Amino acid sequence: MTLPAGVLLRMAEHPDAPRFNRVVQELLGEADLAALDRYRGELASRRGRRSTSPSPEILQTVAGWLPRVPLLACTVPAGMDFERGWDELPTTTRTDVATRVWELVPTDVDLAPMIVYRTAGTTGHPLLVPHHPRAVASYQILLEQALARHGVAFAPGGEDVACLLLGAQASTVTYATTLPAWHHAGFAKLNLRPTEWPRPDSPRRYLGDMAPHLLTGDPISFAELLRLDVRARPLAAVSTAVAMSSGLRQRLSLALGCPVIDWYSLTETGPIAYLCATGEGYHLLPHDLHVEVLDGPGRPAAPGERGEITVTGGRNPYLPLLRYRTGDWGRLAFDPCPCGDPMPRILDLEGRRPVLFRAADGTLVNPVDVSRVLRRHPLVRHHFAQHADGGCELALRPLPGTPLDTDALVAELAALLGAVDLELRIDPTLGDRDPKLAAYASELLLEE
Amino acid sequence: MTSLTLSALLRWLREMPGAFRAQPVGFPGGEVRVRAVLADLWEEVTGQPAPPALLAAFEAQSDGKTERNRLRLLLAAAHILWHPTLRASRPQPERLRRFLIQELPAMAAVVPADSVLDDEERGEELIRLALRAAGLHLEGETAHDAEDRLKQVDSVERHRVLAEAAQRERRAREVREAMARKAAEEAAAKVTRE
Ligand SMILES: [Zn+2]
Repeated sequence: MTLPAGVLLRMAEHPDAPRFNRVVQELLGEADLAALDRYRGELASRRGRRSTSPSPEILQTVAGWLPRVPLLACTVPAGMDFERGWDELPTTTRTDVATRVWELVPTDVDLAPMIVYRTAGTTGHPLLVPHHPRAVASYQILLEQALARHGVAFAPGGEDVACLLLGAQASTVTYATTLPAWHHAGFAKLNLRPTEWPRPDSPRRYLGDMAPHLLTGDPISFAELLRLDVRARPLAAVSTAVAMSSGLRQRLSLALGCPVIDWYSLTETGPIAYLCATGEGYHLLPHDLHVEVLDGPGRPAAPGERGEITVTGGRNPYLPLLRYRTGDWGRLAFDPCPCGDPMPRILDLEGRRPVLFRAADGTLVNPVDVSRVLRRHPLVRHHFAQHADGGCELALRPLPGTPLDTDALVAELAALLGAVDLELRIDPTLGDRDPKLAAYASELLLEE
Repeated sequence: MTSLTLSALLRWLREMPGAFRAQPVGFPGGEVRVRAVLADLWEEVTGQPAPPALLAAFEAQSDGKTERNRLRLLLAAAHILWHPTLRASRPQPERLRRFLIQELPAMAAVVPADSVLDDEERGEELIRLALRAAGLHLEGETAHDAEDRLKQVDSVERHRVLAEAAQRERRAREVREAMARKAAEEAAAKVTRE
């Protein structure tokens, strides 16, 4: 397979190009591309009205998992009729993924193409999520659908930069590559931190000259983009990871002159929904994901009532999701939406609350960076919180029997946060009374 | 009407016409539209057209081997259900639906479609599932006998127990090791990883 080198060269050799720290290998082959084309067609033809009951397609997918997925073989009663007994089926949780994800991997699936994402998450332990390159590439197809629904004519050619993924972290993987599913158009993952660039105004010029059709990133990165006064004119910006406030969305939309699409997706589930073009609610996006809302004990919430968003299906061959509880809350609306998208909407979506920290000099610090420091130390749990005055509080539950170097830990945090007040507390029972204690909390708001 | 013995039904299965043995459309060399075959069957045996949402389940949902196997096993099941006695039994739509979208996909996940032709026990398993869906049992058997015998040839249950027990230990270690190795590679996220 030959790659048009033009756009790659342009991204890598621009005088203001960042210091990319990684060269990535293309993991998609011809068969994957054919499968993605097919998925594009299915997505276009199979999205439509939904009900609270799973479709026959979802039911047969689940039926095919049961004899092959160890965890489900244990928890789902033999001979059960899933269609009639759907509400009795066990749910899966983040804790299952955190503590025994290998029991979810089907017994017969080939492990060779597997990739693994690490996600910090806002509660509990970091997760390792097994994934498949083809399933990850399907996000691009889903993105096309959301863009079309926002009236964006997105059709990058091989010489264009299709997308820049923005990050604003102390350290993260960065690279430039091309996207086979989008005619080998250019793609780069960037870190907006000044240390990554040749000159202070490099990000401005680089993003302007690359003229990306699309910008993706989390709200922290977009806030940083606004601060840098970057003059990119993308067709759309897509905000991921955590909820973007409507205030920031409006400012960003004004600054970039394009729609800003808030994207509801978890590493474990992939994309679930996108913000409706009317700005009211999030339309369910993939046709092959069944979404329901459950009350506290796991019964379906009454029609129109709020509940925990729970998903079944998807495309990740390593992570069959049977009634996976996302930890996010909302209610489902099945009535027709004025925007014309026939898929139901999630209203009052809550739970993707952004957590962000600020260093003593005011720089935004991503919780991922704090997590990177903490995971080098033998901890069972932690709770890191920043108060409105900038002071920080860190409670630690050390791993019993392993020495904890608190001086080193404090020094590493100081390197990240500067001279902020830090109150350190060792608590061997941290989380016992409150198992849902958040690993990170912040009183700071992004719009401040 | 032929008598309902296992040997007669196995012969019926082995004599499955070429149209039911062909590759499903959507795969290399695909010729047969499984959705159309099942739509005809449904209308013939229940007397009503199949709901479109149900028919969507008889189209390929991916180009994977497992999916092709499911569609091929559906064709074999359709052929058994075309047997004059089964066809005339007027199965309850709900029972037939459960067979086609739950029991059969579960079997297809662990049994190669060809083996229902080559391996008598797998043939018997499919025949017994179809008979149960049609509300019938073999000549000389009680409903209880039929259920007992189905349990003995049930591949889904056998695999479920395997997945639950011994295999899980070795496989779990294999998966854990692969994940640890791949996690160290820090997979590149394209466009967005969420
Ligand atoms: Zn809408």
